[in-house]
Amino acid sequence: MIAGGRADAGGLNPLTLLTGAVVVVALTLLVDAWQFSAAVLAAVLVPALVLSGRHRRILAAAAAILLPTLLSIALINVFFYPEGREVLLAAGPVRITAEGTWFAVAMAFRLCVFVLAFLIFSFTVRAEHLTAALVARRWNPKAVYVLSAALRLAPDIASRAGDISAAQQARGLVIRGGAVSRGRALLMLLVPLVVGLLSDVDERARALEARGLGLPGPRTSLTEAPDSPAQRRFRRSALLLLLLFAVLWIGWRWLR
Amino acid sequence: MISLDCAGFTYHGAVQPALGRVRIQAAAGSATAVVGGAGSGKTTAARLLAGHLTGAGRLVGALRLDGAELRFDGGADDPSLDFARWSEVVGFVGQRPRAQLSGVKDTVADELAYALENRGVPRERMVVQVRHTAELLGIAELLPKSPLQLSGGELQKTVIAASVIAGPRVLVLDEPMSGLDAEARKSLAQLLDVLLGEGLALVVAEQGLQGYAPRAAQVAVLDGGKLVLEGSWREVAASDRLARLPVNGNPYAELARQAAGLGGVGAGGARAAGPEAAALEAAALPLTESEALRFFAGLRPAAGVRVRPVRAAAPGLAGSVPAHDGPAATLRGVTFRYPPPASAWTGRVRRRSEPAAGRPALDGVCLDIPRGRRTAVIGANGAGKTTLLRHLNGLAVPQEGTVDVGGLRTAGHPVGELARCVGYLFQDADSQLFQRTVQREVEFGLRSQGASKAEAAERAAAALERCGLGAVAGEHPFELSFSDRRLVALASILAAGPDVLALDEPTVALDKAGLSLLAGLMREEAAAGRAVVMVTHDLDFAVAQCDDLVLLRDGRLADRGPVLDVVQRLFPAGEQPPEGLTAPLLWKLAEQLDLQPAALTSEAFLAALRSS
Repeated sequence: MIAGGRADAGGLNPLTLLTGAVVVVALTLLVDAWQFSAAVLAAVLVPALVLSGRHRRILAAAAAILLPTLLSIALINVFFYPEGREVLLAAGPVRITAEGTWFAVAMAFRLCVFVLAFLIFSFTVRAEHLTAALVARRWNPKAVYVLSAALRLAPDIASRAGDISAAQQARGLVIRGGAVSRGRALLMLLVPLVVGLLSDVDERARALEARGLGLPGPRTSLTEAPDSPAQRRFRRSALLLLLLFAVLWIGWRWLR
Repeated sequence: MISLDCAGFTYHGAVQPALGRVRIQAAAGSATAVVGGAGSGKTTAARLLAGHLTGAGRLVGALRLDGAELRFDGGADDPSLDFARWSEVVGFVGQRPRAQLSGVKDTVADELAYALENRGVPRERMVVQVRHTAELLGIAELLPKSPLQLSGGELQKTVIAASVIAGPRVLVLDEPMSGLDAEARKSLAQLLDVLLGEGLALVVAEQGLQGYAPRAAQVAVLDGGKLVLEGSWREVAASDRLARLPVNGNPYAELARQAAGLGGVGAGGARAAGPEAAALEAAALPLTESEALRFFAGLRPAAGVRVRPVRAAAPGLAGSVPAHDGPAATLRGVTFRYPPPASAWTGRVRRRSEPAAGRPALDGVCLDIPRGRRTAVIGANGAGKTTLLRHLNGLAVPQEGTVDVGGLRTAGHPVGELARCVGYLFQDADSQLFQRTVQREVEFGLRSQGASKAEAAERAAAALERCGLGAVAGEHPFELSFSDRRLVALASILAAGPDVLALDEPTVALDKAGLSLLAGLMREEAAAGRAVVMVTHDLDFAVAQCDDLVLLRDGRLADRGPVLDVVQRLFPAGEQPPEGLTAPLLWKLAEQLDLQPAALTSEAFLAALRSS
């Protein structure tokens, strides 16, 4: 689910994108109302999705995450919601309650906001830019390395898995359409895949150390993450406003 | 500048020492080649110099760098090598360049900059330095490319550039040329020359004498962990002792030795006649093309006499299979295009030698692969050679046209099913090996094709024996040398006894012993009526060991036929060879000696020479 980004986020700094995602998610959590989540989806995330230019991939990934999760939320909360009083339908031990249904709806909207915000961020951010932005903020170089390696893990694994699978089939492993056959093939792939990834680790660790990963002192980066005074102002004020809103909102709820 | 003075090095957990008494040194601005066959200890020596192994085993000896000495007695109070500081001065490029990429950079420029970034070099200076290094090493046009999309040669150069950019004064390289075609080798050698010119000391470990060794000031030959031969390249290449080592030697010297052995040459009897005679002979041995011309011209009874074309046809192969058997594989109008290269998002990265988008990788190819013959598919990089091979076992399925193998149409049959008739050797053996032991690796194919455990074990053992790997059946494939790993992959497909052997660059990374083993196996398989198809850049091997040549150009079938016919058409006397191809060494030599039309095997060459 993590993308080794090449998309161009239209000159946006990765931290601007991240700030946007954090604000959206935090507000949704704070307000905790399905109407608000739905409004955020419609007014912020759907336009962002369209603007990203990668809506197909993002929607495919979102579907893969959301469909099973939403289904289980629906099953658990609609049918088995112990606090529910207003029974809409009852059959034996199963009671569909109004409270349970509304809870499921609220959860579903909230989850959609989380997943979409995260996916839009990770599919539009350029890994190189994120690394540069973190380096500029003097993050620990090893932590930055781990993060950027993770952002590129999926393509690497996919290409290795393809090679190994081709080699296994070339020696007589027949993979048919059925789930059992595919499942078996996947299991046979795992061990060599992990061994292969690990066998490179030692070599890579040496190469990285030789190139100064462990050296003390500040880092620089060749690639510059795009940024502007306006974006910096946006990040600062958005986080400030979020904090202010959180204090006021929690205070008001507490007073009520 | 740097030296390793080793009295013995044993890996932890190993009984036998990997390295015995060995002394290797390199001075600033000069190169030392460390040459040896599989398991000779050259990689161990290279890694010791690079500071990789002092914690991995017990070293008795000394490492010297710039006058400072680290002395090891193999005891507990040995000094510890500060790898970070050592690698500031000594750079290393290993056998698997891809594993040496940082893995976190999207372009070659960023990859190059990585070592500078870690040293906090300001951006403006970094930009200048990256450009300067790239221009110096001739890779400026690669800077915007993704490291995942580079060809083998480009990747090797990128990794070298990335490791020298921070200014080490020694560079150790382990088999930098293996897997590269002639063009890429030449251009890599030029890059290494530039580094020498910049004053670096180079240590280059290699399988043979014809890679970078001719340009090295000093050549050290290792065998069984010991230094067995040392001297200038000329001294080593002409040495009698070299001929008995599993090292790919100098082809001209080998041919001259063969000529001497066959008689008719004055030096013939001198070989066993004591050191002086041997030295005389060694000094006379030709090592370059021009020397070879002089040498062999001097051997001719009468210059200017033309002889009939001679080529020792693969003895007893043609005709050993009934004609009505028909071809083992048939391609009809095969056209294939790779999907457009996607970004790193999908993981589908453009394969190294795929042509640019737009042009089909294969374009209307019609071809029969005959049984009982060895066919070599040749052509420049990106001509479609590997793509053609991948069609034989269904790894690629034609978008237009058909491929039939063993009576099955590849479209509509899974690769695993076609594997019964086609054994496929991948170019990158490491992605082909995936089991815990060599024995299990070879059994895998047999088991997936339904052989019982006992039968699989028996056939696997036989295949390993044929490939000379009987002794390492219990080891992990990744513990073996590069050359042996390729032979394991070869054994794994031989074990199943398929009708068609499809071999992608089988000669790459093989040492001398491996090459002659491969040639013998190809001969046996063809004699048994199987079709052997190999894709290769090694035209010398192809013309000596194959019966037919297939030439691809830009995805189209440009020529095909018996080896001698195709070579005659491709390399007519006095004309430039087609782009991306180099005329076979013997052919060139014979042509210049006016043995016209010339011979393709050393036996035929010498026969022609004697009868001329």
